[in-house]
Amino acid sequence: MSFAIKKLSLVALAGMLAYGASPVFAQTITLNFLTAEKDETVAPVIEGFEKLHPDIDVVHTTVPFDSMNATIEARVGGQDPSIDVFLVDSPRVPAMASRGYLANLNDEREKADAVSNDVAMGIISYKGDIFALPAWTSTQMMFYNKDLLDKAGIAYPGFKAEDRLTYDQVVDEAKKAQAAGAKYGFIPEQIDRYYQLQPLFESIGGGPGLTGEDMLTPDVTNPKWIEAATFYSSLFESGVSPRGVPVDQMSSTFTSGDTAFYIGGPWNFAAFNATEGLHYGVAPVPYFAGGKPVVPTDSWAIAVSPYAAHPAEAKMFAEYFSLDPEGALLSVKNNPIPPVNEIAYKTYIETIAGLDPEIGPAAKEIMTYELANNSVSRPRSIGYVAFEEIMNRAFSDIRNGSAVQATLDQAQQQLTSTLARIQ
Amino acid sequence: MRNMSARGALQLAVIAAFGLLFVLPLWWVSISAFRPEDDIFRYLNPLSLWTFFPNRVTFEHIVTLWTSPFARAIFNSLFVAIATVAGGLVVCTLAAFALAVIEFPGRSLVFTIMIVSFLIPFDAIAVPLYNVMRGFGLQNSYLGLILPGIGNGLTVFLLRQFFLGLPSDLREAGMIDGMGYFQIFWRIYLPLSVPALISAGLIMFIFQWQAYLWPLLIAPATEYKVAAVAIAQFSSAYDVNFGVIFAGAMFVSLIPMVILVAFQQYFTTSVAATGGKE
Repeated sequence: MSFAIKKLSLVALAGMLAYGASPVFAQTITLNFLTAEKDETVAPVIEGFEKLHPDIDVVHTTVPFDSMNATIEARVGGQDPSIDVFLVDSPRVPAMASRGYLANLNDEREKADAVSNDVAMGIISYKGDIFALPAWTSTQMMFYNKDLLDKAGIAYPGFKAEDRLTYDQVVDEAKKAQAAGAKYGFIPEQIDRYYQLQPLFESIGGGPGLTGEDMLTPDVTNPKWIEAATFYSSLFESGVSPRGVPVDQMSSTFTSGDTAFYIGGPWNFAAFNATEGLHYGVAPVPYFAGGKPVVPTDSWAIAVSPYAAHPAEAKMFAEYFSLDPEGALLSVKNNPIPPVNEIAYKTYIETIAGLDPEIGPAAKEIMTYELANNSVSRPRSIGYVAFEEIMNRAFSDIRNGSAVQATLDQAQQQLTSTLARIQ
Repeated sequence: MRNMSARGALQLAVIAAFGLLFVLPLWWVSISAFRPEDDIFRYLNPLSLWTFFPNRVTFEHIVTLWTSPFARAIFNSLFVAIATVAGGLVVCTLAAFALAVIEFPGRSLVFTIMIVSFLIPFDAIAVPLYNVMRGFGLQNSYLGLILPGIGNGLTVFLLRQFFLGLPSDLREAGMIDGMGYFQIFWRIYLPLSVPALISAGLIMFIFQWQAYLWPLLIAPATEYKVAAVAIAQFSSAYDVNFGVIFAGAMFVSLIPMVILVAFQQYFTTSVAATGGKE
């Protein structure tokens, strides 16, 4: 061996020893984070976490919203260790926990309780344990087009809780607005989805549609359900709400200036404010006369995979995302929905209040009041996923003109047999 | 044109009207990629001139699309589709030749299994296949994307039918001249099968180009993401960016369209020829 080669070997050996001894070269852990969000939505919270933990590299993988649950079932269900931590739609927590897709996070309960409300904690629980940490929540309000209301000579609805209109009042005014030129009178955004329609049935006193100790007994044909569903059907019969427009195109009916009243969430602010010439205001979601005000809630929670390659680091990231006010706030920096974390919420809502002097303060008051008083979670049940699918089909049928009683009877039958199998 | 009869003119008008009917949705999607987001659905109902021609034009969606990792996704889709065609043609032509020409015990059984394999929807086997591929460490790799497209039952079926249609005299003449099976395949069957090979290649290209569920499961990392998955990600739980989705759909449609138009005559020739026996 020549001198040069020996020298080179010694240098290489010294280098290898130095690499092993030096803490500077400590191994970086890669944490895989799966969501249905765009990269830019979660980039701030990932950046914040990586600053605190330079030895952890969080890699975000996004899958389309409609494929998120199928992806979790295929990959986590297949015990794939390449997903460490992921976002989960809160009402699906019981079903996923029962199938072993979510790690038990009960040792985080105390910390989560300290910064979250009871509604948010309830929805992530299954058989007394928690299987996710609450991340985001949602609430809704009624947007109205000022120009269309002016044209019809309708007074703007107030934004205080006591100014809340009934559904019948809104429909009456919607018809007046249509007579004066509005294309559509009144549109609940997710027009044939349970998330959006649950408040109708709850407001009138019909209940969520599931009863029993485990919420596995269907109850969608009681007289109050029939009454609320008949109201829902009448929206399309009378042409107040559109039949053919799919949910993901619905907000364009408001930005195009065609709709007088529109129920939706704070995620609409960005698009509505960016639309030139759209003059709008906000009011609380209506209720049924003789009933109670009810507003939908819940959103995504953050869960750790039971098969995570790095479970301890995954839990640290979930804690930062949910329980740390800084992380919780960063998680909604590019995503205008409320964080569950109560400390982060205070800063978040001030951002909403500062949006526009005519809308911001009203939105702040409505959102804070509704989240504290009128939010009703979707049923906590391992049968929720099947329930939602069957009910969404039934709502879609009613929207397309099917008879209310017959459609709900059929849904009740399907639910009875499907939920019996789950029990 | 002057000599065209009234009947001919009417036929032409009907054909043109049907052609227009097929083109209109594609035209609407393409043109909507250049509209501001709040104009996209504004003129859809009732139909008017502005439904099909934008009265305000923006390039914002095109810029958003090409400043995202979409270019990488297009490259990935092209690479996966071309590699599948190359590898698939080798495997499928050999399999089809064996099934058409070589007599061996159980040939009909193998052929039946092949037929059944392409009748089972791919979605039904995606999850178990994913677990197998993960076992081989093929997650987030080109190989993981390409492999399931290589053995294509429909392609084997079409090529086998085409090979059966070639005169057996040619094969027998080759054998008399001392050729082995591989030489017969290489020097007689392949040169005569160019239209069928193009058709088979197109089938495999389109299979990979439009694949969605499999790439979503096996290769969700940005560096391996294919175009169909990249486009779908402009839709999140709270926000659907239709302008960018339409822009992506327009570019993604263009590539197979150009390929199909270029090779359409071979495609129809080979499809017509398969199944014919002397």
